[in-house]
Amino acid sequence: MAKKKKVEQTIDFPVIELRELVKEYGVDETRVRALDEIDLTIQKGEFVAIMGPSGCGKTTLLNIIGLLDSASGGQYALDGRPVDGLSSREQAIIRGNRIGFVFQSFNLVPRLNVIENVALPLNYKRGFRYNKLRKASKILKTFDLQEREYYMPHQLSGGQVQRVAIARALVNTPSIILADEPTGNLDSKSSELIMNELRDIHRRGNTIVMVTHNPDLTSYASRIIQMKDGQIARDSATKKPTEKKQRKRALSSYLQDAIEKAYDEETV
Amino acid sequence: MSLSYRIAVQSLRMNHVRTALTTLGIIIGVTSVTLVLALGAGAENSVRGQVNNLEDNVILVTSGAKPSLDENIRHYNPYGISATSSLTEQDFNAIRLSAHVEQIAPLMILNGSVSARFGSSPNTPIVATTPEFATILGLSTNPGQFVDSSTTRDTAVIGAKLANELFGSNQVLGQEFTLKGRPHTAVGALKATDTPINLSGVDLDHAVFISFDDGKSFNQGVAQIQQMLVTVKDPSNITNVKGEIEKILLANHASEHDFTVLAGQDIAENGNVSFRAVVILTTLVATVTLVVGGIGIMNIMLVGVSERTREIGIRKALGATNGHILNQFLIEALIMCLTGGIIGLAAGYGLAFLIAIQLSFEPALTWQIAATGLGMAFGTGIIFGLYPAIKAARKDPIESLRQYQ
Repeated sequence: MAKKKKVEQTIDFPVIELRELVKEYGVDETRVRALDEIDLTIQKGEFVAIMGPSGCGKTTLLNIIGLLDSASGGQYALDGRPVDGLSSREQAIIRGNRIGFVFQSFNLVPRLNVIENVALPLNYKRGFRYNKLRKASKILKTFDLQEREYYMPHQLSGGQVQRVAIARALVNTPSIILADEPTGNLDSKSSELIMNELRDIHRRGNTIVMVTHNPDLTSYASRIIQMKDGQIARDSATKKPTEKKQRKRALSSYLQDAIEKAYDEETV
Repeated sequence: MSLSYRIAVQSLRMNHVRTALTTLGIIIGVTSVTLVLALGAGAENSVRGQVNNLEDNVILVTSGAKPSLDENIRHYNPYGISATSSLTEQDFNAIRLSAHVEQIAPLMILNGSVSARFGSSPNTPIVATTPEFATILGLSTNPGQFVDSSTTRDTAVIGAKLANELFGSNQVLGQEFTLKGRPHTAVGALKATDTPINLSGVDLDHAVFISFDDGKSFNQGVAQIQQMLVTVKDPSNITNVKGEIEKILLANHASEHDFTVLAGQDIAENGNVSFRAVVILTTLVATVTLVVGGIGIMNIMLVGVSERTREIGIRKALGATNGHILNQFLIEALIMCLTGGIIGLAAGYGLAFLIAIQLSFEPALTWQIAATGLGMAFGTGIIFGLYPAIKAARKDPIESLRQYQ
């Protein structure tokens, strides 16, 4: 039975599966629900843009997907394998092997040069230093950054820093690339460059989840998820409000009907 | 490991002034520890050396029970002699009659002023003894001879340095001088001994030697023996002879254990107890310096951890485990400490040899001292580097990433 399930999973190949994922902060009265029973499946090869106002829980979601944070409830499976209850060491190894991060800013370690920064995820694995640097150099070449290999981060422009960060996210061929406001600190011209870069690596078959509040960027994505108050308000893949939303809507219309009926009876 | 090392070296280079100043704390600590240990062991070695120079068949009998370390510090007695002695001529004769004893020399140590025409020396150790004393210790005279049965009562032999002080040279033969108010004639000068700290607590180069009978005459004709030097016929039997001597003395002293019998290395030990206490105390003080250096390391590491919070976050996001981060910071502390240790060791020895120019002994160059210095530096690195490293390793990745530089 269990075997059959695995086979099924490899067919549609969901990279990320979230079931009723909950994240809560604080205790008792001060408890805040940052994520409220999120159900989300992301298939291999998707470019998902998560949108929403600040405080809607989109960064928290990204952190949980990236195993930087752990959920308070629900299930999360990465590459078909559940990741709940992993030790922090195991989580770190998964981050190093299967996840590539691009942050909003200050992505690079200032003391290390470009090639060392790109090789950083490889540093926490076995292997010869020479091979690691060669791999990093190869990746930098695909981003036309091979002449910047020995520059220090402060000698690069903001756009170049972000491209180095994207190169670094790709260096260990991860299952998924997580980008948190990757153009947040860039001018529009650099932003466009970075987004084109992300679109290119998406076309090469990489899975990308990007958090942004800029609606202009959604045109690059293959799927757009709108979040509100810790829930998924809209998902372009389903083109309709989620099941839960429907249930809530049904409940509220039922209540409204009941209230109206009561009013009617009173007035009569 | 090699990676963590590279990362650590890189970050230490970035703040090279800070690194140098922090390392200086460790350097000073290790320098002082090395200096104290090298000089202390050097001095101890030179005392040991004298005992080793003796035949290994010598037994030393001293008056009074062996003092404890604490007593030795509180009632410091540089000559190791009690005012009244428990050893008598009767004891001396009893031991001399033992079949296993080859030679025996009594030491009656008096203090008194010595004055000659050109110079005088107050409070000089005056040793009344027999010719065996010179034989046992291998002392020789130039010119003249040691006191023996053929010399009359009012003659004396003078230590090399004292001879210079009193007469300007070692040409003392026939020179007259006053010893404890009584006129004496010098019949010989002792050759300079190359041993600074002496077996019986008396500086032989700075003492006057008179015949045992002469000594008794200064004490109403009664012998006051502080020490006896005994040689045994068969060195392999020395422990048994030591036991026999103890038995003889106990019988003579109505079972009162008011004497100490020492053989072999123990002889040096006895004179060394208080000296060693000084070495231990100084080493402790030097260790405090190292602890202060360690606090400096901890302080600067904590600054480094909070400065590099963002970097820790990035590294963790890219797959670094807590162990990787811990290693990175711990190795940084260890590099500083071990570098400081090596430099400190070199500086400590340099200083020790420099100071030794003024002293009569060489500092001890042993691997144990080097290992102690480096080991203490390493230990300091672990102890004071661990807390900042753990703090860095335990940082929450999200919190760390949120902190912008």
